[in-house]
Amino acid sequence: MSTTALEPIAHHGSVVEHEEHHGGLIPIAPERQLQFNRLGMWLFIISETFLFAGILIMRIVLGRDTEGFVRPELSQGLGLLITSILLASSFFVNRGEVAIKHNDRFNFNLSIFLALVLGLVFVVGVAYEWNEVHKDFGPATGPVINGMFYFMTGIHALHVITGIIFLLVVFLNGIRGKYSAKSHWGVESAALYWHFVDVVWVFFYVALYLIGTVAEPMK
Amino acid sequence: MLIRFLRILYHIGLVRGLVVGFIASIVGAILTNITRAAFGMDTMDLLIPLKALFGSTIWEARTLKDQATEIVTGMGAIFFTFGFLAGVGSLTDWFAWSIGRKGGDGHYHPKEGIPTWTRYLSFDTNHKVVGIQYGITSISVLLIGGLFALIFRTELAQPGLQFLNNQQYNNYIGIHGLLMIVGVLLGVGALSNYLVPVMIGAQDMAFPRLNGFSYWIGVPAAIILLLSLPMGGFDTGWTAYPPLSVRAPLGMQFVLLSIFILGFQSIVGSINLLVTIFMMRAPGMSWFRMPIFVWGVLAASLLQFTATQFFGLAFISVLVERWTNIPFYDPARGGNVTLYQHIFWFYSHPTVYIWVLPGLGVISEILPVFSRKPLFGYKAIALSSMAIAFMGYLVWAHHMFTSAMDPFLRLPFMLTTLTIAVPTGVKFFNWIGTLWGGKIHISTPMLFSLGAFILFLLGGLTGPPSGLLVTGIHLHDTHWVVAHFHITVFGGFFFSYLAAIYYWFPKITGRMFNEFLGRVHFWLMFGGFATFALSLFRIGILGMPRRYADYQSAWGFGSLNMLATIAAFVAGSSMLVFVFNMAFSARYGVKAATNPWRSRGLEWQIASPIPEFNFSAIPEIIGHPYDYGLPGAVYAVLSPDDQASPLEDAYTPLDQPESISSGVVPIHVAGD
Amino acid sequence: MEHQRKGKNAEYLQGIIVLVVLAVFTAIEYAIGTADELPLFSSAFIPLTLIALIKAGVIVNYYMHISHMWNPEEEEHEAHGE
Ligand SMILES: [Cu+2]
Repeated sequence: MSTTALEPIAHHGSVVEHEEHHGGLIPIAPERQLQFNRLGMWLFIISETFLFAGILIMRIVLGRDTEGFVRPELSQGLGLLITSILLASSFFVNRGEVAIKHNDRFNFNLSIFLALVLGLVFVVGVAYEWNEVHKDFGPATGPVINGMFYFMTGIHALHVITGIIFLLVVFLNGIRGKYSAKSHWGVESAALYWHFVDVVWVFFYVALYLIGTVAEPMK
Repeated sequence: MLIRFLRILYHIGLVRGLVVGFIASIVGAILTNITRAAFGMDTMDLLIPLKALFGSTIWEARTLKDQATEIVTGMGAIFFTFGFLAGVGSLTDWFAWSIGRKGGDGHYHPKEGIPTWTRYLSFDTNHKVVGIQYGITSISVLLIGGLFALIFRTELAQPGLQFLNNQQYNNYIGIHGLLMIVGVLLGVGALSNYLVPVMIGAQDMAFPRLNGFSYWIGVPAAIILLLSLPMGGFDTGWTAYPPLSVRAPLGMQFVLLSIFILGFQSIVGSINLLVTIFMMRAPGMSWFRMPIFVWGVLAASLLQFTATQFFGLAFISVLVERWTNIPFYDPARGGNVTLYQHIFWFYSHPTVYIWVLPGLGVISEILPVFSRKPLFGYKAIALSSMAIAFMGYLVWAHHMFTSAMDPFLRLPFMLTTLTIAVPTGVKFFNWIGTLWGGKIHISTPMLFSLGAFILFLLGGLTGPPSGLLVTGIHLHDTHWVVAHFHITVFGGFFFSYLAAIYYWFPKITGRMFNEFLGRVHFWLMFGGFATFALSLFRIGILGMPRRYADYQSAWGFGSLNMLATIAAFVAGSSMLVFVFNMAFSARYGVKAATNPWRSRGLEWQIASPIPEFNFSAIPEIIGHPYDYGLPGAVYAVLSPDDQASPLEDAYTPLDQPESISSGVVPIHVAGD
Repeated sequence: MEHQRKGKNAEYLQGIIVLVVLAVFTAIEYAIGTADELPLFSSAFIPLTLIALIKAGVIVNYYMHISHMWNPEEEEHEAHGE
């Protein structure tokens, strides 16, 4: 049984050693444990989908005037840029996952590193946008859709930062050779989470940058 | 002596968590203050929480200083949660994995000289320990919440304000509601964590560490919730409707934070249960051989892991509005108050089913055992749980008939609300079918199940008048509604919960509770509560609004209120009998037989208390779980090592030896 | 299924193709969102939502491998196909 450090399988590996101590805990086969983990992760993603769906509903309800949808006044170029960066980051995470599946350690480490850097650039981009937007209005001033911009990007950025920490853990364990083609649930879960954060941004990008007309600033 | 005492204290997870959490909260508050100062923002005013502590509770207008204080104390509470979880040891293994080390095995290993009971106050991954932790916490939280109810119920006994002022009254109804909700959710966690793995023939949950974590995250949440009272209270009731909740005193933020943190428990716990139920059923246990309680938990978990996000979103958006003034719920600046109610009720209606579905599952477990008959309409009961769960998503706006919602929407929501009575009715007819012609044995668990049956029926029958527009608008926000949801939750969850505790008590402790005290508890509780609820229905029809601290004697419900208060005290005092019975019997009770109720459930075939890992070999399911009274019907095959030998001198309440065929033959599971 | 016998390079190539597809869709989104007048649609809301759903579907299917949930052997074949 493989006992890669980041994986819950490792726990059951250690139970085998303790068996005489506990008596009777039948170890769960790694493939089965992997299926447990996958199902758990997907259920978590479905659960989070409800959160972000709720936020999108808030945006749709609040971001309207008599004419139709409104959107905050944002830099279109920057929006396209950070969207592309996050997509590229998702691509590299996928590439890393493929690499470790084929034991291609060099490409694995490189891809995860690039994904990590791109993720950081995304966060910096959002922070820059916050700063730019803040020159015109804070969260408390202006129409409510501007506040929605802070709320949506803020909650999404919290998830991105969690994902970056996750990727960092995977990267550090990766360069120490903790993953193999047979056993890399850590990589897979980080990738799933990261792609999910990307999917959320696919919708948030549309909702914040592209839908409707720019909201009239309130006096 | 002192050294030994301190050493024991150190080995209690709860104590470590509290200490580390306290330090972390101070560190968090200081860090937040420093960061804010560095950005030139207002910092905390220590006097504000102190003033809240000593009485002056209402914020006339929220100043920037108030807001800064709130953010700093709020960050302190968040840090407290992280510190608590780290101190209790629930994050240790995950941290070890993330830095590439091998974690522990997740089991509690008491050191030399440390008493074994510390296990129940420390982080442990065994699902039975976690279940008992949930159970004891839930009963404690329910008792505290009930105490608050008795306080303001006494105030309501007579017209005029006797000993509470309006603010205190508002605080107490709010905290009562939230504590009861938390307590009931913890109770659901207790039942499902303890029972589901044993019932499906597994050794533990799918993610044991996550299981321990999901219990322990509830403890700081409960502490933060209780903190809201000394920190100024909150005058919104449990629903926390804006714009009032945006302007409410400092205590409000602790409520919002606490419920948000508790959401993690619900979500993580229900995901864990879902994976366990999907993946870990014993060989041969197809969906329609699953115990009916597991069906209830499955349906409830499906609701819980999705809808809870909306509760979190509702509360966190109010918190964000309080912290940053983003005008989500300020109509003057483009916000929308009705939006909050939609988001809020999208969770808070389904949450009733999250409590009730496992509770109804318990009733369906107990009735066939004490009627010695197969469960009537097993598939219908199982699928009706799923139907209720699905319908539960579609009825939320019946709480908003008098809100600013588009009046047209009232009609579809009225129709869905009435439709949900159909799958609920399916359960009732099948229960009657189960009891019909059965050989009914009356014992405390059966009494509580029948009580739950009657109360939930009353709760169900008072639903249509509340859901129909013609009557619902008149009854809206009166004591009728209070009575309706209390009787529903008492019948659907609380009585079933008590039934479950009595029923599985011999399995959990290996001892028998005192039957006489159990019956005293039942009759006091049932009589007290039924009187209470029925008087409240009457008061509501007469037009007394809920959430009012006072009423006039001329309105003519003074004596009914007095009756309701006395009845509430009778019901409340019966819980003392219960606590005494449980605590005393767990220690000094008569040794119980392995299977005193002659149930066919898997958990009853193995030793009491259940061994550390439940089964030494995974059982094989070859039949149906509820074939009581059918000769030769076999449910499962267990390893002879697991099949417990019946105690000779054991107390057996159901002594009909002719029907002892529990249907489980001890055959060694060969090979695998 | 030809999907099962994919080698390493084929999988890398698939990742790149998916990225290109996503980039093209994003460009279309940007064009729709910033255009003054739209052909066919009166509001940008519906086409943008549709494209976003397609993009999400592509990521969920090709990057998140949702099919591994109900078809865990598929992955084994991929690893052995090398
Ligand atoms: Cu409801």
